[in-house]
Amino acid sequence: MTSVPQTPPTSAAPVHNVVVAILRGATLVVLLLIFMFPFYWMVATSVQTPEGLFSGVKIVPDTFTLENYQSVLQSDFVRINVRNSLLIAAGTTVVTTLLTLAASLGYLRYRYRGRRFFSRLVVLVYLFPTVLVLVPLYFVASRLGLLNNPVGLIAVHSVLALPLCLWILQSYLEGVPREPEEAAMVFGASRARAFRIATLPLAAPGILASAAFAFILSWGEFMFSFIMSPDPSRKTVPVALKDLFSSYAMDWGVVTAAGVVATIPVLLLFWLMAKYLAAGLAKGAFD
Amino acid sequence: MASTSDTSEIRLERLPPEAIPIVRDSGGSSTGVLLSLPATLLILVVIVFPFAYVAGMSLFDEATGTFVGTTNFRRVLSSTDFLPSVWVSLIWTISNLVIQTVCGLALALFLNQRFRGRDAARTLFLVPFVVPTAVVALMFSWMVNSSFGVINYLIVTSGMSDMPLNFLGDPRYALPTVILINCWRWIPLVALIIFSILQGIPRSEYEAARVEGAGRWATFRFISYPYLGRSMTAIGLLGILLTFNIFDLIWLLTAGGPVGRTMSLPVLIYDFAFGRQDLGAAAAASVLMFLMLLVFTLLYFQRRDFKEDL
Repeated sequence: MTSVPQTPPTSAAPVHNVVVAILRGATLVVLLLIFMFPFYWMVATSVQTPEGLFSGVKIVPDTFTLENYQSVLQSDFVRINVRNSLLIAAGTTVVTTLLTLAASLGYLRYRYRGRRFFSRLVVLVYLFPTVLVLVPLYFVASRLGLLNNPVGLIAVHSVLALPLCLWILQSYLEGVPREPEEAAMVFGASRARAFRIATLPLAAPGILASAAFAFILSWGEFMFSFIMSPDPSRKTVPVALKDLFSSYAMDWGVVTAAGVVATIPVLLLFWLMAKYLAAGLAKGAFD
Repeated sequence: MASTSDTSEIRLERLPPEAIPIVRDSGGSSTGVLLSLPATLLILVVIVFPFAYVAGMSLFDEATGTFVGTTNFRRVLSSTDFLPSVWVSLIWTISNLVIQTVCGLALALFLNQRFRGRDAARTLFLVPFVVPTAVVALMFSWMVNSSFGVINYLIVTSGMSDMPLNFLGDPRYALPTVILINCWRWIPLVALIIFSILQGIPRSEYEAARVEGAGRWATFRFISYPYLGRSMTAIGLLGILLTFNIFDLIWLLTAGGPVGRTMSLPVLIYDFAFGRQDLGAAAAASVLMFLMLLVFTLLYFQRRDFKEDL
């Protein structure tokens, strides 16, 4: 996926090119405005004083304060919810990465009965309406004592992340040269060991991308977290955000500041997978 | 140009599955199974078995545990909420699919041009998709707020309306608003997927087109379009299923209201189960929804098998 020019070059006068460049720039600005403005607006709101907010809408804020962030950082939102979410997202990342590595090795390097069943089962996770398993999972979790328990959510989030993680890693592994692995096998390494010592280090960007996706998915997952972790001391970030912005006594400065805090981990991680996400999805969709 | 049509299908598959050396000899088979086993088990435990449980539950009275046959189904089908919510789901899925395909294709073709900052733009466009759904709901709830929201401010100051619009609370606007917010989130991703397909088209085809003097439209019509068409059927089917199943964004923005105007089938099932505590109805509605989507699922798998056989 390197940036090879695919556009049929236009053969025209330089003036024409300048016009095209200006139109293109203008389009880009409009597009970025559409897709980025909500983020700007969230940040702009979060740094305003309550007086500034309620004295009317201003596209460029005329007051500035960090008090909203101060109250978010001192609130339960960071002390409890962010901590819960970090724990669950980290657990999901570890579990998913291990499962993904094992399954990729098995799927890509071995031919076994049920291989096709496995690949179908994996897509099924996304084809399947997850709301349908909400009720039974709730029951099973409550019987096993996994309600309000990070283990329950880690298991569910791992399943939700697994398919795309597999696709991201597998589409990356397809581009990794095979020679080192074959050489290792010539020198007597088993297939699994050759995969581990020769191919995995080369696949590091793919592994990081899939791990980043697992973390981001778990961090943002709402439905299962809402149902399976309802205790106030066990709520995750998205559930706490929902409580914040749907409460009647809401202070939009604080709410948007919490939203910014919830977005930061995603922004720190998503560029690791930005390059591979679409390729992974495309692979999953029609491979 | 006509001569390329028969080879293009094979080239689309970036790597034939057999390019990977696969152990076929004895011993390898059990290792392969063993390695995929943990992932398989987890999927079975979290998705497949619970659903089997739901299917069973739909036939029983949840309070007494007695077999009631199709009673739950008849109750759901005759309830005043079921058909309207099927209708909402249809509007939701079709509008999302159409808007996202058209805008996603346009954005992909735009990004497919070569210009400075293109890669950075591609990365930035992913941000709406990766931020938590709750953050998306928060941002838009605030933006469309009827007293202090920036969108109403722009609408009123530009004179499009003298009164601020209650986007999420007015039965007329709620569903379109939620659909547009969902499109905002998915269009960039759809565009990037289309873009990655476009990037997979061999450059030589474009050069051939240029040599033959094809313009932009002809190049799109006879080269990009045939390539895209094949992959997009599969992606479209996947999109139908993914979109139909969306629960959290709708629930976070409107919780199915006002007066049920955004009560899509997943939201209704949730409402049956956790709002009205009617698990029998929730299970029956789940089975009905599953059957509706089964057609698309089977079509999708047929599509995949078709590719595997190439």
